[in-house]
Amino acid sequence: MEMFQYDFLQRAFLAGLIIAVICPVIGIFMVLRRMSLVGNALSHISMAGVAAGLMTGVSPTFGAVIVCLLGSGIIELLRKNFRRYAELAVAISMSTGLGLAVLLISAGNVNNATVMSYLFGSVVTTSKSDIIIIAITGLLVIVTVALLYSRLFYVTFDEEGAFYAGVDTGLVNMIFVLLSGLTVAVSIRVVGILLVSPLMTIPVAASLQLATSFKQALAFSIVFAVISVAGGIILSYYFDLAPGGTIVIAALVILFLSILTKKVLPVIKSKSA
Amino acid sequence: MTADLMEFKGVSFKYPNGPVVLENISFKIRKGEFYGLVGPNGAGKSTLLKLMLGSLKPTKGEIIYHDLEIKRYRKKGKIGYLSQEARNFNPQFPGTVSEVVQAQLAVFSRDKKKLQARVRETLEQVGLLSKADQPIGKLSGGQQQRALLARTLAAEPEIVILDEPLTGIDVQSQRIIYDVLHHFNRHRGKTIIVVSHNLSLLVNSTARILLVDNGRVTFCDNTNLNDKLPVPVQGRQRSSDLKEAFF
Repeated sequence: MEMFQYDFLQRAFLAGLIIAVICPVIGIFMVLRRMSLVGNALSHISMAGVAAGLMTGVSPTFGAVIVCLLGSGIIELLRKNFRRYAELAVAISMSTGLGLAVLLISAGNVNNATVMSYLFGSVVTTSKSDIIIIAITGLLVIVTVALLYSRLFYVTFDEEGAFYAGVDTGLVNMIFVLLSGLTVAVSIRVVGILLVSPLMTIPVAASLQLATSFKQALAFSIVFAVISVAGGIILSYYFDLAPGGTIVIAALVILFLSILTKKVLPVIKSKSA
Repeated sequence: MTADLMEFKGVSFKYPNGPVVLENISFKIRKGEFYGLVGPNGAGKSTLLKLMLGSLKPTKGEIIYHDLEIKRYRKKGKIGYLSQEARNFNPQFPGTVSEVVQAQLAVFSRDKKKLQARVRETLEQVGLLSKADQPIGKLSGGQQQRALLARTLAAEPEIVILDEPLTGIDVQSQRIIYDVLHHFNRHRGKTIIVVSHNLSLLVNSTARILLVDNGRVTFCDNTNLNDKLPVPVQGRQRSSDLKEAFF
């Protein structure tokens, strides 16, 4: 393929594929625990880290990782404090992150075009150091989820039951939110701050239409995310579109098709029977 | 002689700014026995249950499991608990019956073959082997309750605590749950504590009954139950639902 002659596109593709695997791996637990908005809050919080990075000359991705880790810890603490109004944790942390970001951007006189590239993603500027950070994070997320899989599954299905069965639910929740923070922080380079949350939730929503088991739902959501990211990057190259937006639209098309399949398949089956 | 599994030593409990719910309670739960926990609404049944499970700490006194503090005992996976709320899970959850049943077991066991064999055995006991690959959200209420019971029992806890396990489910599922609990108690020597308003379930079993009333806990069995129950229930307890009588 002509597009892979370019180093930057090879890097973009590699980064995109790693993100396409880890986003739904975290996203499936988020969606099923009705925590989808936590991803959204974390992406807004990451903006403060990006702004701090741009101001100080440190890698903005690294800045986003640090701020997201702090932010995810704060979200979990707030969720514990506002047990009955858990969405407040999201609202508070989201506005704090965004407020801080705006403050830092205006105080630091950061270039608008650079800020935009983080808001909407810019695969073409994915550097080698970005790839290293994304690859290490991807490995960390996958290994941790694999090790904690049975605990995460139990906590997702029935948190109270898991607690009484001997699972340290506080620790599992904290690790999960930290992994979510890491995933969001490293994904913003490719899909952008505003579009990372959809990549964590839309492929999962599509997989839930068709899957008949949890493992199948996890596998389908990874496949759908990989197709969305690969398709989005290829289409954006050939049609000169913004990659982040194209990836999200590709994911939405898959969601639409999966809903259609779910509705149409039973009708076809009943007619052929 | 049966060994003690759990001991309440002079336990009192009071909610902050609230009245004393339980006062200076001492009793022992013996290994391999089947207990029923009954009492009027507001008598302290739920508080006693939470104390047994370690989600509340006594204001005075202590609760010991096999010489271990509850938290350490629980973390070893020795307690199986089926709450009333367990069936309020997300109905869109894609997990199959088999995946849910192995959830608790998988936390403590890495042996996949053993795990799958245990899941099959438990599903067979609760009559859901044919539903193993179906999403749990697609089952009826009674079948869901049986699957959740299977999840609790598959992990082979030493003590199983169930909060109103038969409420709101069909008669067939009630009978299966009752039989499985008795099998687990008699043939595997597990301790069972059932919180229930349905006194006939408890009286017809070999249950020893823990009656919670006015901050006190009294032990009864089939022979002295009638004398120990509060006056409005006496004479009705064997056939009727306790809820009808005085709750």
